[in-house]
Amino acid sequence: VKRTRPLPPIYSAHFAGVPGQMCREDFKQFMAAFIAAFPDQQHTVEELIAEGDKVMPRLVIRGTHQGAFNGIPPTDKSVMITAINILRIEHGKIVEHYTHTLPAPCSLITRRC
Amino acid sequence: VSMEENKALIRRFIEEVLNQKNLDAIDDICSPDFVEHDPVPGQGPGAAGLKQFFAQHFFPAFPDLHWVVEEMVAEGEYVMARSMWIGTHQEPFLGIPPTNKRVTVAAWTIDHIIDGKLTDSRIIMDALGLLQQLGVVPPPGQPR
Repeated sequence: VKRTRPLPPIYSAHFAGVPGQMCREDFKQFMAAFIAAFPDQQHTVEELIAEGDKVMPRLVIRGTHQGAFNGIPPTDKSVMITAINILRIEHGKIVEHYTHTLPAPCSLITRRC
Repeated sequence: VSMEENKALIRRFIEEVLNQKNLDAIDDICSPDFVEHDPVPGQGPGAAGLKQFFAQHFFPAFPDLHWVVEEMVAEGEYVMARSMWIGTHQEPFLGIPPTNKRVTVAAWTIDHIIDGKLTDSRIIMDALGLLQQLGVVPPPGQPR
């Protein structure tokens, strides 16, 4: 008897207001650039709603602008970003990640996939 | 009150208030002491403040405003909606004279419902994207 196993989850990330989607590698690159710009960034969950296979955390991200960001050289200013995410989870892994941040980190969003 | 009833209340707000521009429906849907956690500059408190913001600012500025829900997640007393709105800028808005530009803006909401009334809400609106589409802020990556 041939045993079937669940397919490995394919992760995709979507930024609100930006067409298309990012794959796992795109998202890693995005996060690397975001962390380089705000190396001390801390993410705090302020609220969390879940229904079925979806989890919706609202986060506040705080950090200091220590690397170039959006073409802006480091200003050493503290920033606060609000982020809402919808994460869809299959077999214990995130497969779909919708995110909406305020303000949006537009120019860091690049895609290869 | 079930989560499905809470979702239906939010869909009613979007259809009747935002899409059909029926401001009286606010009295039915929102509690009088309604709180917006992230108000638009100039928005007064309560259901009255919300009504006034729609009547005097938002609806005249974007008379063809159309609000589309793409996804909803509900748990307990909370409903989260991932939405987009589309409209043409025809009157001053946030001090910006009419540009006649058609904009598409991401707006996500977290609504709190108690006993069938919307008591408080948090809107996360892509204000930067709106200003970029209106042409008052340069697109990302371009010098000011």
